[in-house]
Amino acid sequence: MNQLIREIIDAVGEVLLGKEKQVKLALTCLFAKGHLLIEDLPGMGKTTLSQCLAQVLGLSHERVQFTSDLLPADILGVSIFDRESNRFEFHSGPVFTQVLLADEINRTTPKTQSALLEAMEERQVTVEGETRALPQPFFVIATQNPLTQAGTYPLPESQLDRFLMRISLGYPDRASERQLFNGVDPRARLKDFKPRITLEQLEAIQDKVNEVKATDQLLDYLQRVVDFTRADSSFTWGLSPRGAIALLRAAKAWALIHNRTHVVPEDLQMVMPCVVAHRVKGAHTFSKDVNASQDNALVAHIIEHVDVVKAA
Amino acid sequence: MSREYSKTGVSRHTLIWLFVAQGISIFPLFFHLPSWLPLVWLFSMGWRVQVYRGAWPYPGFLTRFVLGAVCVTGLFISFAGSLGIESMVAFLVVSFTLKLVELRAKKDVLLVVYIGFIAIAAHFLFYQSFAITVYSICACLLYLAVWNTLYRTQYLPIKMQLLSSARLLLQSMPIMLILFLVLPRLGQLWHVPLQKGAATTGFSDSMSPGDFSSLSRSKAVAFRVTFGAPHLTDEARRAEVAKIPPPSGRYWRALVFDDFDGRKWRYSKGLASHRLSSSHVPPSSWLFDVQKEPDMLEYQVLLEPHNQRWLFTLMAPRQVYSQQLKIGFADDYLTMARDSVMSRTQYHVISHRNYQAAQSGLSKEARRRNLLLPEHFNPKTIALANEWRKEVVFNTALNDRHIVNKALALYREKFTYTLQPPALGSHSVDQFLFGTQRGFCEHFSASFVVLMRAAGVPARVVVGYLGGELNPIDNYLVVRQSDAHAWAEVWLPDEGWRRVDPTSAVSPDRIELGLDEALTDDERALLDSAYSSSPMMARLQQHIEALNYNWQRWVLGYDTARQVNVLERLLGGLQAWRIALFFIGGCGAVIVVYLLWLSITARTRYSSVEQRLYLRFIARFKKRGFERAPGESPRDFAQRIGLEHPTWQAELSLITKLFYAVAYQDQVQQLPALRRHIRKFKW
Repeated sequence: MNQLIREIIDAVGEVLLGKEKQVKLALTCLFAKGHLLIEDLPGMGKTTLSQCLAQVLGLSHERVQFTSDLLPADILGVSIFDRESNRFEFHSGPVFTQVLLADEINRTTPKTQSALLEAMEERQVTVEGETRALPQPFFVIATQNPLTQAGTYPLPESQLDRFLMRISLGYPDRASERQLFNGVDPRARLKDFKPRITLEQLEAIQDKVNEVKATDQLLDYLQRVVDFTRADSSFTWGLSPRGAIALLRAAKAWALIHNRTHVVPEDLQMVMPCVVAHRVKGAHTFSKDVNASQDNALVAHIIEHVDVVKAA
Repeated sequence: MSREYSKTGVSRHTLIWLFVAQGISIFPLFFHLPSWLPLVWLFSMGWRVQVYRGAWPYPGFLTRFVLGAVCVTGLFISFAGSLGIESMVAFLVVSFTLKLVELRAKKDVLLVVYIGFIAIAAHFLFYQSFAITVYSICACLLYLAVWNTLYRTQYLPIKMQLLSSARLLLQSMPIMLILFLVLPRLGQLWHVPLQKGAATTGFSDSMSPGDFSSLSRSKAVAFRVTFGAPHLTDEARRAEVAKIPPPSGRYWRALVFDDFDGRKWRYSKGLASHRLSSSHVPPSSWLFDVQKEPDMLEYQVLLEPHNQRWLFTLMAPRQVYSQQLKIGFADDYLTMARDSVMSRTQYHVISHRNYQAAQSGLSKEARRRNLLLPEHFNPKTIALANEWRKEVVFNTALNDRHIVNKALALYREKFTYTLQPPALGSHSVDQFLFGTQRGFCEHFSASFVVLMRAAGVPARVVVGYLGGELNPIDNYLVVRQSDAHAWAEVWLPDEGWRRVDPTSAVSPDRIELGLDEALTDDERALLDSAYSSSPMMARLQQHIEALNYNWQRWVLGYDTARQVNVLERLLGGLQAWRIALFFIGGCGAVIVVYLLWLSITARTRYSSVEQRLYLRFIARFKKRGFERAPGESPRDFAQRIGLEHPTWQAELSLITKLFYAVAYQDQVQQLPALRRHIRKFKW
């Protein structure tokens, strides 16, 4: 199984150069059965990563470009009157797929964004009073531009919470960028990209995440982290129970990817920025650097102040 | 009916601990219960293992009913339908073991654990030694361990699990002591009479040749005696040792045999309906004539159950008293209990060492009885006795004492003391006196009494124990079955009943030094040795014997009288408020001490051992200027320090790895290694 995970990481790494950590985090999210939000500036490879993930997992995928005039029906589907059979027939939207690639999700209106809400959490959609189950597994991999960019609608907290992890890719390193200059086109490889994993194998990995152990000692640390976000004055609000569970789940998947059967504190620290940052709200400005993400500074604040080993 | 298979209700560790605990706790009971009970246990265990493996389902109602019915029927047959302690305990064990097969959830395990404690208490019905107490405590430890595993999320190594149980037990000790001291004594569990009990020990109510030589092979303890008043200080107790009579004075009387049918000796008054005097002092008909300065001897006897009514006293008992049994005086200076002694009993006696039975004491009827001999038996003996009688009759200077001396001289001259006497025919006394001339105390005493009676001197056989061994550790006497002895009493007109021991004429060593010394090496080999021949081992065995005795006296024998005594000394009075204050204050003090301890350790409260070990270790780095930031994980810390201080790197990273193994991987077995490496860390 570890061999398999390694292969997947390498395969994605061939397309997305020099971003192994981000690839691992993205896979962590999918193995933990969570939806993934990729946030970065345009042109950083968000879409490439999301497509690549869908393909490598061998899942059916649909891509929706979210625009400001996109309507919920465009995602969920509509019923159209069929004259021959003389009745309404449901034409399913792109959401009826295993991986939904939602490109630039913050470009669309809140109305459409929230249409995704039920789909993401309940893994089913209700259209015209009828509830329809989505295929299994169902992932949403959404990308978005930073909110400082013009013409965006920030995702509401309730919807942000639906994403298990939010990652950003960042600029590539010099060597990787040089490869790009030298004419290596990762997107070209995507065309003949073969799935590296079957559906059964994916499910096996997801089940394996549940078996990763977290000892009382580790749970103590997790609770110290959660309590800190709720008690510390730097936070407007702290981590919800769902957020705490998400953190543990992500840490377990991260541990599994690193070939361990148990969670260590480093796992929690590693996934914390991706899991916690978009779920808490700081009470004041943390970083003097205006461009840096305030959320990430907040997480750094948590990691720095919560003792890993002992209770305060 | 759907079959129910095991889910993960009871963990493997709990099951294993439970099996072991159950086995240990019911093992001693097996020796007293039907032999098929272990099979029931093995069967239940086997079924439960199969259930755990998922191979078999839990038994349905019908199966359980049939199992129960079969076992109860088995018990009914084994005990022939009688209801007693054994059958009740057997029933307990059966239901206890069968409960295994329906162990589904935590609450079932708890139930079995609770019954387990009762099973442990049942040990004391059958055994009361100090060793079994230690054993029972070990069994308690195991049950506490089972209890513990129920609530643990991680598996502890065996040693640590036991240590944790031991800690629990130790913490409960002070409360237990207070309860032991204060709680009213409602009689003791082990005083419930058993069906089998002690039917085999000691002599019986009749004597025929061979009885005593077989007894002499047993080193079982008959009773133990402590001299002095019941509640003495150690110093006073030591002073009492000087008063203990010498071995030749320790004739423990039990019973007299005055009825001889040519083969068997019996007590003519019988035992079953023997009436007891109701007071603690002898009846007036005893007619003591104590010498001017009465030499009182006070002692307590701790009697092993012998299933008989008679008790053992030194001549001449003046007062007897027991808290556990109704006891009193019978005729012929005997002391008896109203009922058979079925459990270990302690009684208190005051005897006069210098006594004289009243001279007018022998009634006509008694005289006749003590001269009676079966007709047509032992003609040679009777002829010899008649000769002696004639000497006395013709010479007025001689009296009955002369006849006694003649007989003793005869024994001294020609007889041999041996454990393997030849068999005797119907004229047993004739054959013994004029033929074999080899015998044991019963032969000597019986033939002596026949001689005396034939010569017209009233005489009777007395049985009991002679001697006893002084335990040097705690200065008490241990009297064993091998000390069983038979001697004679003759009535001399001027002196009343007098003790005469013909064995002393043959083998003075038997009287002075005990049986072992009286025998040749070959014969000694026939005896079980009470103590090892190596002096060190013998000393150790004496210590164990002393421990057991003190255990009996002070813990098992802690009765109302003793409790009153202890509480009076401890509290200065017996008023209810004192006892209440002691009880509340004692328990309160224990709780306060515990709370104090908690509050002291609260500042450095650790959730686990490995955390404490690691943090203390890290604290030593802080003193050297290497402080771990709160958010720095141990691994990051080890890396940083390793870079700054390469000599520590290898060991520090190993310790960190071990800490991770224990703390985050549940590998508790690495804990000793973690401890060791931290201790050995070179700064």
